[in-house]
Amino acid sequence: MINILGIESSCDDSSVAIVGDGVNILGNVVANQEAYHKKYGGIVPEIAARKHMEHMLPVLDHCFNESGLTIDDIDAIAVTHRPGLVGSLIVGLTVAKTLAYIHQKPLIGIHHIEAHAYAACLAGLKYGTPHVALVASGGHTSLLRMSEEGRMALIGQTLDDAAGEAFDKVSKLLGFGYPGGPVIDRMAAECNHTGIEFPRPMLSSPDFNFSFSGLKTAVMYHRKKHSESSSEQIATAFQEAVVDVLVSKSLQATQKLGLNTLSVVGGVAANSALRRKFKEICDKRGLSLFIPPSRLCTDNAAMVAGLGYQKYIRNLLDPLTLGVCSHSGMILQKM
Amino acid sequence: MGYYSIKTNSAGETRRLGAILGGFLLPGDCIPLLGEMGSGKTCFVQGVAEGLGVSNDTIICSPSFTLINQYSGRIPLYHIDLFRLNSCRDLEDLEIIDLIHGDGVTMIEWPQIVLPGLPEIILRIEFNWDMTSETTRIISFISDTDRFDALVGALHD
Ligand SMILES: Nc1ncnc2c1ncn2[C@@H]1O[C@H](COP(=O)(O)OP(=O)(O)OP(=O)(O)O)[C@@H](O)[C@H]1O
Ligand SMILES: [Mg+2]
Repeated sequence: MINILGIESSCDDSSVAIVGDGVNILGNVVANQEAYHKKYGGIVPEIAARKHMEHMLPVLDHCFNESGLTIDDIDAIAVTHRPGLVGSLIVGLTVAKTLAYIHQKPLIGIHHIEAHAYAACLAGLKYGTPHVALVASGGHTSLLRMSEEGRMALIGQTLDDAAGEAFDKVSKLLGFGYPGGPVIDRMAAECNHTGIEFPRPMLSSPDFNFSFSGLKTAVMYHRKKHSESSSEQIATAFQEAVVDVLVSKSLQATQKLGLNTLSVVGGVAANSALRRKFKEICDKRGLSLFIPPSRLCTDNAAMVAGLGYQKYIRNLLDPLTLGVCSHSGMILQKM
Repeated sequence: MGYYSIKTNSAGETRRLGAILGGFLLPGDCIPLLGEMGSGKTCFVQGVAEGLGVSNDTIICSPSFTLINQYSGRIPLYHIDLFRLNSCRDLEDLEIIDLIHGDGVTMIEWPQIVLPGLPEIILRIEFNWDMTSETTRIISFISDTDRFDALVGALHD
């Protein structure tokens, strides 16, 4: 078995994983900084970088313990080097380079968004299957066309706020706090009638782009005009609108590209209403759907190590001079 | 110059205002954008980018999650958003100060925590809701220098 050590530190969470042959998760440890962020109301980048420094080595140790392996069992080291917060990325990359240098292991730089899409391969999708991937998180809302060779093309993205960002902001507007996703999900699960219909932005635009900034305005305005609606009802109606747009656009893209496989990844893919709706519609239309379990949807290093394996066996290695990059470098393809 | 306030009736109008301002900006300008959630700060910066000559097919997204987005136009544009921060023990850790003293224009959403540490502010902009309609905003330009007198003239037209 070929074992890849994966390291992820692009945003809030420090994570280390060991994955065998691209799919067997032997260890996957995530130190979540949520406790700090709750206290500070969001991310404090300086703290985020410092916390990554504090967490990274214990998480690495923990991962080796969990897997029962040692560094000698590792064939290569894969690390997220773009896109993300520069200070945070550097922590992971430095650990990866140090290990690679000391133990003479190949280094593989990983694109965070490609790693998210790879999470579907940890949930049964065969690597290289042409499909559409929806990556929806706090920082991203992108539709990708994944092609045979594992190449990806950006075919749609948000023009303003990301879906996860919209959850956080609406949650804050309604007084539920940070992070917004899980709270709104829970709230909506208990609310069966809202009587509110928020707009579905961009639903009928001919491209595959998204726009979520208008929903903040709609929520704010509704709250000021309709004091009879409860926060729970507003949150639920908001979630319905987001889910509706994400599902419809993904299906439009799948249809337009003539593909029959779809994956949904990124932190927002942990949302239970989104999972349910995707499953319902894909079942009806006979599409194959891959949504990884929640712990593989949110940031984790298993997706990094898994994708690292695919690069490793294709000899796509990087030099020790590899650097970090804050932006994704992906250019929207005109459809 | 003092104080100048203008009402916009659509996101497009707000973007056009931003585009006009973009034409007046110089390297080293740092402009805090104040206003509630959804008041139109990001929308305005989309216009500024256009006015600075950032290419039309560049998408100007909200930087709330990424904190800093950078674009290249006639002069570089640094679009910063400190929404997710509410304490900042050391401004330098954010490397924002370096950006502000640099070669580009810096527009900062949710700037409250860095305001005390900012160098002289030549212009700040406030965004307010006008509850008469969902698409009306009142945008105020506040400046102590007379550099923006010409801007006010241009905004008038
Ligand atoms: N006159 C207007 N000016 C600006 N935006 C408007 C106007 N009318 C409607 N809108 C809508 O309001 C929303 C403004 O959202 P935007 O993200 O720009 O606000 P923001 O101030 O950046 O919020 P945040 O604090 O979340 O960053 C957009 O969806 C925009 O289309
Ligand atoms: Mg904004």
